[in-house]
Amino acid sequence: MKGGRGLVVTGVVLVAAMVLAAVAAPLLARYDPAAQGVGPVLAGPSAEHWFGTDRFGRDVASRLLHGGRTTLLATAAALVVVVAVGVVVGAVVAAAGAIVDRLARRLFDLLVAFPVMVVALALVGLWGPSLRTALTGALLVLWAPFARLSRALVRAALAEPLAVTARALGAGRWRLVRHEVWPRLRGPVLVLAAVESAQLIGVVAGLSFLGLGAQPPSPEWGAMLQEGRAALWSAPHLVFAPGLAVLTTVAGLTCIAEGLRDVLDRAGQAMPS
Amino acid sequence: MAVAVVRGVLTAAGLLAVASVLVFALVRAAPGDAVDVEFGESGVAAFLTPDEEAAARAARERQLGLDRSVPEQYLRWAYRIMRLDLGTSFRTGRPVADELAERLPASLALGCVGFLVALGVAWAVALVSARRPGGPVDHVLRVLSLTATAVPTFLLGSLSLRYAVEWVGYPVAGEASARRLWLPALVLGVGAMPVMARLLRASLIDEYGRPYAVAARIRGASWARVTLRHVLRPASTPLLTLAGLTLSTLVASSVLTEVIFSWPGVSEYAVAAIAAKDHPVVQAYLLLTVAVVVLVNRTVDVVQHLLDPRTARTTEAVA
Repeated sequence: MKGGRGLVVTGVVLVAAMVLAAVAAPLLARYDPAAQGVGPVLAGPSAEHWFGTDRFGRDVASRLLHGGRTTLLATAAALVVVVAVGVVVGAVVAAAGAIVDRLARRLFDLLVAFPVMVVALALVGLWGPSLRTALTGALLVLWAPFARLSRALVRAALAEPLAVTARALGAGRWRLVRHEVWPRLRGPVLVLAAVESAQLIGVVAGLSFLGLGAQPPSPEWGAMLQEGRAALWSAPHLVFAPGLAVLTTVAGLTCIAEGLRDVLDRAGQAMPS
Repeated sequence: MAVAVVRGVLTAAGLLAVASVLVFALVRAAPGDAVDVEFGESGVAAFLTPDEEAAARAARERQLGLDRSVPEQYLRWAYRIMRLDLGTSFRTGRPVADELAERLPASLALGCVGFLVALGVAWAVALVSARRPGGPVDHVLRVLSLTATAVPTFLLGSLSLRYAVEWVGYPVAGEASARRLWLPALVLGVGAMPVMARLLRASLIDEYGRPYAVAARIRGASWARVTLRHVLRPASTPLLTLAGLTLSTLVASSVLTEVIFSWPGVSEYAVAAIAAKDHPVVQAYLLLTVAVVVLVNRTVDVVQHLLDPRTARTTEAVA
C-alpha cells in the first residue's frame, strides 16, 4: 500500500502552500495588513475581503498572509534550536558512561512526559506575555524528545555489526557518524520534527489565543486569534480564519509525520513513538 | 512485586526532587523577586524616601530569608512546599493551596470524563477500522483521526461553544455541573482520541492475526466472540504505554478548554493568575503539574511491571 507516500505528498503540499503564501505575502496581499478602514468593520467574508474584516476594518486575508511570516518563521527557528540541541545532547549521552546515561535518561523521561503548554504558561507567568517568552518556555522541554530519540538511535547504530566492524577497521569518529549513525538517525528525527513542530504551532497559537503569547496589533496568527476571541459572538470568522491557517499547517505537518512513519515502518526502520 | 513498588516510589521521590530544583531555579531566575513585586504592587514605595525604602526592603528580605545562601533558600523553600505551604496569592491574598484545592475536583472531573470519552471513541474507531484494515471505512476513519489531531483545541472549543449556545442553549456561565461538563469533556476527548485509536487499531490487527485468534475463527467463533472473549484484553494492554502522553495531552488541552468554557478548574485559575503575574500561583501550578505527571507516570510504570514483568526489559531496550 502506498498510503505513506501519498500522505507525505499531501502534507508537503499543504505546508509548502502555507510557507509560499507567507513568503509571497507582500505580492499576494491585496491590502496593507496594518491599514485600518479598508473595508466595513467586522464584515463577514465577501469577494472583496475573502476572510472578512476585523473590528478596525482591516483586511483579515492580508493580515493572515503577513502573520504567517511571523508565526512560521518563529516556529521554524525554534524547531532548529530544539533539534540541534536535542540531537547533540542525545549523542553525547549515548557516548558517555553508564551513570551519566542512566541519570540523563531519567531526566529525558521526566521532560518528555511534561506538558509543553504548562512550562510555556509558567514562563509567561514569570516573565510576562510575549511570543518570545512562550517559545522559550516550549524550548525548555521540547529538546528532550529529540535527545531521548537520538540517544537510543545512536546507541543502536553503534551496536550494529557494520558499525562495530567499521570501528575495528579503524574508522574515525566522524566517519562513523556520517556513514553509520546519521543514516539511521535522519528518518526518525524528521518524523519527530514534524510531530513536534505541529505541537509547537498548536501550543503557541493556544497561548496567544489566551492573550499570553504574541500581542496585538502585530498581524500574527495567535494575536489575531486573541482579537478574534473577543468577537466570537458577533464575528466568528475572526477566530475561524486564523484557526483555519493553524489547522492547515498542523494538518500538513501531521500528514508528513504519519506518512513518513509508514514509509519508515515498511523500510524496516524502528520508529520509536 | 514489593521490589517493583519500592523502586517505583524511590524513583518518583528522586524525580520529584530533581523537578523541584528545576522549578525553584525557574522561579528564582524570574525578573523581580517577591520583595520587588510586593513593593511594586502595593505602591508603598511612593511614600518612602530611598533610604527608608532600602531599609524596609532589607528587613523584608531578612524576614523572607532572601539574604541567605541559595542552597539554604532552596531547602527552606522545599520544606515549606512539602508541608503544602504554597504561599499566598498576590491577587486574592488567600493561601494558594486552599484555592487550588477548591478547584481541583472540577479539573479532575473534566479530565476523567474527557479521558473516558477519548477511550470510548478510540475503541469504537479502532474496532471498526481493524475489522477490514486498508478498506474504505479504515481510510475514512484515518482521515477523520488525522483531522481530529490537527484541529487546534481553541478552534474546536470556541466554535463548539458558540454554536452549542446558539443551537442547544448551552449554559455559558455557572457552577461546575453535568449540564456544563459534557461539551468541554467532548472537546478534550476528541483531542486525546487519535493517538489511542491508532495504537489500538495496530494492536488489534496484530492480535487478530495471531494463531490463537485465527484458530478461534476457524473453529467457527464469530468475529464478535473472538473480539470480546479473546482479543480485547491482550490488545488493550499496550494502551498503558500511552498513559504519560495522554495525560500530557489532557493537561495541555484542558488549559484551553477550561478557559474557553469558563470551567472553574485549576487551569482556568492558573491562566488568570498568569495574566496577572501572580508568582506564587504560577509556581504552585507548575509544582502541581510536576507532581501529577511524575506520580502518574511512575504508577503506570509499576503497574506495567506488575502486569507483565517482561516489559521492564523491553521498554529499556526500545526507549
